[in-house]
Amino acid sequence: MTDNLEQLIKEAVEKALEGDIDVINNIEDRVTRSKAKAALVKAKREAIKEKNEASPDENSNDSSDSKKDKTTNEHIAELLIQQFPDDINKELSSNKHIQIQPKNWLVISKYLRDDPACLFDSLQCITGVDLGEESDLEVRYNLHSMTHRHAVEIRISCPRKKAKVPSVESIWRIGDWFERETYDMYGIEFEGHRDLKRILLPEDWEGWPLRKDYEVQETYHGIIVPKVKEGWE
Amino acid sequence: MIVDRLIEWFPTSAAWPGITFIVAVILCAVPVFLFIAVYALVAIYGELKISSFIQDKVGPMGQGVGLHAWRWGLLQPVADALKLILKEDIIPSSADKKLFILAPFIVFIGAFIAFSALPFSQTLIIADMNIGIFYILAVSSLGVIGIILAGWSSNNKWSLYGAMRSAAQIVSYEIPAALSIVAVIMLTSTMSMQGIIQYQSGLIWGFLPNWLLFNNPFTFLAFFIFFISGVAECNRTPFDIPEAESELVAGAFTEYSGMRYAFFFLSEYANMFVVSGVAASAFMGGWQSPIPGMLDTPGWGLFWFMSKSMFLIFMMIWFRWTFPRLRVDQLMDVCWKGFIPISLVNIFGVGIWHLIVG
Amino acid sequence: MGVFENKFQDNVVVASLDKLMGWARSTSPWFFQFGLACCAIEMMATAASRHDLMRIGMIPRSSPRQADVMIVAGTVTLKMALRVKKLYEQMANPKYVISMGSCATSGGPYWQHGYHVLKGVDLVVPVDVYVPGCPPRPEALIEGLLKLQEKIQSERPLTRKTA
Repeated sequence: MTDNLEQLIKEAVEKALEGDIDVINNIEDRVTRSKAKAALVKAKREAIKEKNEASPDENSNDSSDSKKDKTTNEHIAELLIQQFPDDINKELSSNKHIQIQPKNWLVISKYLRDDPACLFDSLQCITGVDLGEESDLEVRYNLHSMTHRHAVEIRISCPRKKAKVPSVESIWRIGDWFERETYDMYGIEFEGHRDLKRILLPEDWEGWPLRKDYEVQETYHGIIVPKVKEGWE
Repeated sequence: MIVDRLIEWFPTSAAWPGITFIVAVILCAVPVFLFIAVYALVAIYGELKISSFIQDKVGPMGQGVGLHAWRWGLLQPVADALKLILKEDIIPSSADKKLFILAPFIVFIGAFIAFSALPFSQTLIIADMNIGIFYILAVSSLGVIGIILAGWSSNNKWSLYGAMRSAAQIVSYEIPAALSIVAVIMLTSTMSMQGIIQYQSGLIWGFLPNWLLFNNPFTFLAFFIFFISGVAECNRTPFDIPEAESELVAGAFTEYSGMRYAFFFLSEYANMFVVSGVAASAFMGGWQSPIPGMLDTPGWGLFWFMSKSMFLIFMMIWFRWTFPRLRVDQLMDVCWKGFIPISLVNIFGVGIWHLIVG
Repeated sequence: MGVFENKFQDNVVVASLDKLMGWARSTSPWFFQFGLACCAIEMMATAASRHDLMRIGMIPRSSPRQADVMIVAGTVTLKMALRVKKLYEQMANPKYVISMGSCATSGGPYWQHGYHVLKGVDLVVPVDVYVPGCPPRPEALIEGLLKLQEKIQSERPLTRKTA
């Protein structure tokens, strides 16, 4: 019985790879149909892998080495440098992240989302970093692509006194809350955000807690904030 | 009829001709009020205990110091009632004061005056009107006004939402209830409660009592429709969206504390009893014993009526902890798209069945 | 009861009435379920089948006006502290507060560096019973409730208290 099923699944998958997926869709048993679909996905993935392995064999050895060693970040960084030459800070980028100037960030993010080679449609996280007393604040974005399954990290640096970064909330909608949190904790203002206000702390809190030079306020609406009782030290 | 007998019994005073009637009515109202109070204590205790047993818990157990009736916690509802009386009475400053105070009374009156037509036994009925069941259905609609007043006068958006939902639900579910009673009235050709019960005397097929429940498959259906609509009218689960805790805090009664809240509570249980009493009288034979000829003295009549009503109240409590809650739109769908067509077909069916078979 | 409180000299009748009032209030404490964080799970577990809060007569109510006891279960942040105060003021007298867990008692694990945590709910509302633990076991919460019952029974609302 199992052999019959395996035979059936194999035939259905072969037919589907040629282009006729109705054979799979017409299988009545739900379990068998789902197995056939899973086998089809696996077969397609192997076909792509074979094609990728086939093509470097056709090129010369040098380019194949460099393609294997380049990470996604460098790959995307090269793409970005071609499109936006002044905005990528090549010295500070590494094989793990891409450093960008904030001026054209909105256009770059749109490019990252829409370009067929990138297709970063999922903003995984926005976080802020305080790099120390004398240096700047930094905003870091983690982007991920569902179709190409690659991920990249973007960092944007801004001075402590005038921390303003363009908001990507209109590009990736989830940026709304991420940017509110970064604003709440670091005081980095995101220009173009439709409703930038504190999300975790109360509205009338003073100060940006995750900055290194943060001092807790003494009272909040008459309630004492720091630790109160004696003998707690 | 108790009121009639009392009126005959009193000497008529020439100076105030109406005084006999007023005294007779008050003398009937006080025992009813006492009955409602005692019954509410029993029903609250029953609900706490039964719901606890259904949830595999134990329920009120007489923890704590002193007289608490051993481990059965029989005095728990008494303690609840006493505590509610001793609470501070809060009227929100932005609430409409007169309506706020008036609302619990209107809800209570709606449930209370329906008791005057309930047939507790062959002789124990306060007013055996020839429109008895029609009177009960009409008067139990008064409660809706009280709930709307409660929600509006609290000046609180949760109360208003809860009151509107509750009013919509009660008003909608009165229609299938009334239509099921129409099916009953068609057969018995009388609206008087005692008359309906007399119709159900005797046996069918030699052993089943001639209750309307068994008489006719369409009245069998009408019983279920009436009972479920009654459950909806009392705002009980599965129809308790208006007072669902997770949805609307406490619904229309959010701002009520202490004794005013106790009044709402009391009227909910009184309403449950009215619905069960009407269902027991109209469909289950009322105060008649299931075996005619045995155990049918007036004293036993009271016992049969109370046990049938209590059984239906037990069903209501059982429903609360068995079924999940219906959403508001599902509730309305069930009523308007389900129950009303079925009850209309019912009326038709009852007549045809009776013509052909009965 | 505001009219009658603290009015009468101590005698037999008043003492028995006091006892009756204390009994009624302590054996049906309806609690305002104020579960904020992890201690709320333990409160739910206490109200569930194995340890049953309904045994003691506690029924959960969700409206502060109908509740007697407010069980503050969980971490109280400063943002929430203002709301706790507001809800406490909406409860009807006589009202009691049980602070459940170490976060509500004194800030809990966040006592030192938690800039956003209220170091103990007694900075905003008067607390009657503290139940320590992180989270306290259901038995511990029930013991706290029984202590609250003793406290309620020892109140003498009618008797005039001499200085």
